[in-house]
Amino acid sequence: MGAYVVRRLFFSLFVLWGAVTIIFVVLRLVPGDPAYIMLGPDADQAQVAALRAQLGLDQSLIQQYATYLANVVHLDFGESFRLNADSMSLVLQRVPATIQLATTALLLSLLIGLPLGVIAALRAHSWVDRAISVFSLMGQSTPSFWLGIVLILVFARGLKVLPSAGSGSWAHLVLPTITLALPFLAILVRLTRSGLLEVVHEGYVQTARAKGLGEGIVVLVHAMRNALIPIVTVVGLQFGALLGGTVIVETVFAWPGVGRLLIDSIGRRDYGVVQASILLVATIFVLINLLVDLLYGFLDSRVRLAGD
Amino acid sequence: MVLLSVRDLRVEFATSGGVVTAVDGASFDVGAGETVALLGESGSGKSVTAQAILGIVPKPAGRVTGGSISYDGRDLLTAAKGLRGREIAMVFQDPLSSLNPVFRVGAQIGEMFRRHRGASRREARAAALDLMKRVGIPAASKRLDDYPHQFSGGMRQRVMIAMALALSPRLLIADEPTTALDVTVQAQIMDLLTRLQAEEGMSLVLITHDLGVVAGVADRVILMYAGRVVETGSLREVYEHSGHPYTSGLMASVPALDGPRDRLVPIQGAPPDLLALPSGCSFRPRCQYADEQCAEAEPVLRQLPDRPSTHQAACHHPEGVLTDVH
Repeated sequence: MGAYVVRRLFFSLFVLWGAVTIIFVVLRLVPGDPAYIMLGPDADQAQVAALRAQLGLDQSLIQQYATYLANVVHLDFGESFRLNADSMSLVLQRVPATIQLATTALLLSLLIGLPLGVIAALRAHSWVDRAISVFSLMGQSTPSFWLGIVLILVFARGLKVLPSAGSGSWAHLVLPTITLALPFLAILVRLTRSGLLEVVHEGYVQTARAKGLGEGIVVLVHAMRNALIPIVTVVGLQFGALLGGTVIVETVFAWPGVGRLLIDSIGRRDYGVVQASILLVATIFVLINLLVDLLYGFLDSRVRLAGD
Repeated sequence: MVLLSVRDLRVEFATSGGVVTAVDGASFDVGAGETVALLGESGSGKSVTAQAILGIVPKPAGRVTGGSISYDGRDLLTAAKGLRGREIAMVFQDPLSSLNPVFRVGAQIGEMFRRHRGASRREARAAALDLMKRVGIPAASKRLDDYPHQFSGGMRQRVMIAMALALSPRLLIADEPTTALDVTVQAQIMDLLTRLQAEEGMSLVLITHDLGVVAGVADRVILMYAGRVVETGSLREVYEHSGHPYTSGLMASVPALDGPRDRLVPIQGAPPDLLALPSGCSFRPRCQYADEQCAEAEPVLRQLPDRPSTHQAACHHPEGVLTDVH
């Protein structure tokens, strides 16, 4: 398994290289020059040209790209034009807030999504199942920016029970967590329901009943362990979407995480910070995918990882 | 002594084509220590009968709608849950799909002791190891931590049998236990089952469509057709003096090693469509003896003329069948 992990990590480097290359090119294709934005509309041509030279923007794209890659290999992720600090340390400062938000959203989704899915499967085609299906369909189709704004209107402006934005207390975490969790939770409900329904008619579930085991053990141990395999895969893949969702949710709720820093930095054409943020998020995504594949083999011994 | 008594059992399934009566008024007894073969083709209701005995008819589609099943004086239709695994155990047809793919076999066997007897992990492991040795799994102590997919078909069925025997049940139902296995392995599994049955003194209900499997093993056979019991008696009686045209047809379609190498004689017509059964006797459309009486009244099980009282068939014209065949 060690060899497998090493090989996967090696191939991950190509994925990361692809990610930074795409963001490097896209950033420079987007109109808007960092030097103009930093100096403001009153600056004259000479000042802009001087700043461009200072930032290295007067070089050809190929030259800039080569310099950037060489620096990244040496773990130098560039300076922030705007804040005159190392980009990666700026991003890393924001990571705990994002991780806090993503983790609570993930936990909330699992705590509510899995039980709801199990209930829906056990009561398949009943009104309970239909109600849960309608809820999850709505959860999946509600846009986060809209839900966030509605929650702010209802709970912060209307009822005045929760803060509308910012961070610092558990109360601040409630609305962003719900907003971020809902689509993820909805997917989990549907996956758990269909996963369980697929295995409840399997022979081993009948065997478990014939063994005289209680219905709870039959469903939650014998059926669920098998149903979890596809769920884990999709949860892992969807975690990337969850990270993407933080960009919107952090912006709506002024949550001081990586997502908001990314949006601010794109607005200011702060190339260094945007590139560092994307590189970090891509790295997390790649590592989670690796973790999911390893977990897969742990859940089901029939899955033997190549290289074992 | 009668251990299991099934009376007028009726099991229905809701399907997209309508309600199917999978078991339609089946009645039979199983004595303590007796080996009974439940014979019939696919769809005859033999597996559903077994599910009803264990109380594991697939819900919500399936439902026991009539009759009674009593086990040792207790009503199984209400009390099956407490007896499953402890008193009545079952071995299924396909051991690969019947074993949980994600748990080690030792844990799956040991679970019987942990959940039913409150045994510790270590005690359950030791008990599972003993059982695996008893059912003849080589190097059992090494294989305890293997998963089902790492075993051969025959070894998997041994694991299933070990699991079924864990709590020394008094009744073992084996549903086509050898159908999914190679022919050479089939004999080994049948030998194992009969040996264990003798050691434990338990009753064995052997469900099969294969006459060869039960020959020399079963004390008594029960033949089912379209959800009904059509003939019952000792294997020898039923074989030599078939009183139902379906039974005689079945016997005639078995190739004999020592007999003349003629073409096999198949039963005429197609297997019954459970959604559109004929009135009266279900076998009527395939039967050469059928007349108006067969269309009007459903035949009941009764003793055959000049045969022992244990030999019964559900046919309006058993005399014709008896004289024609023998």
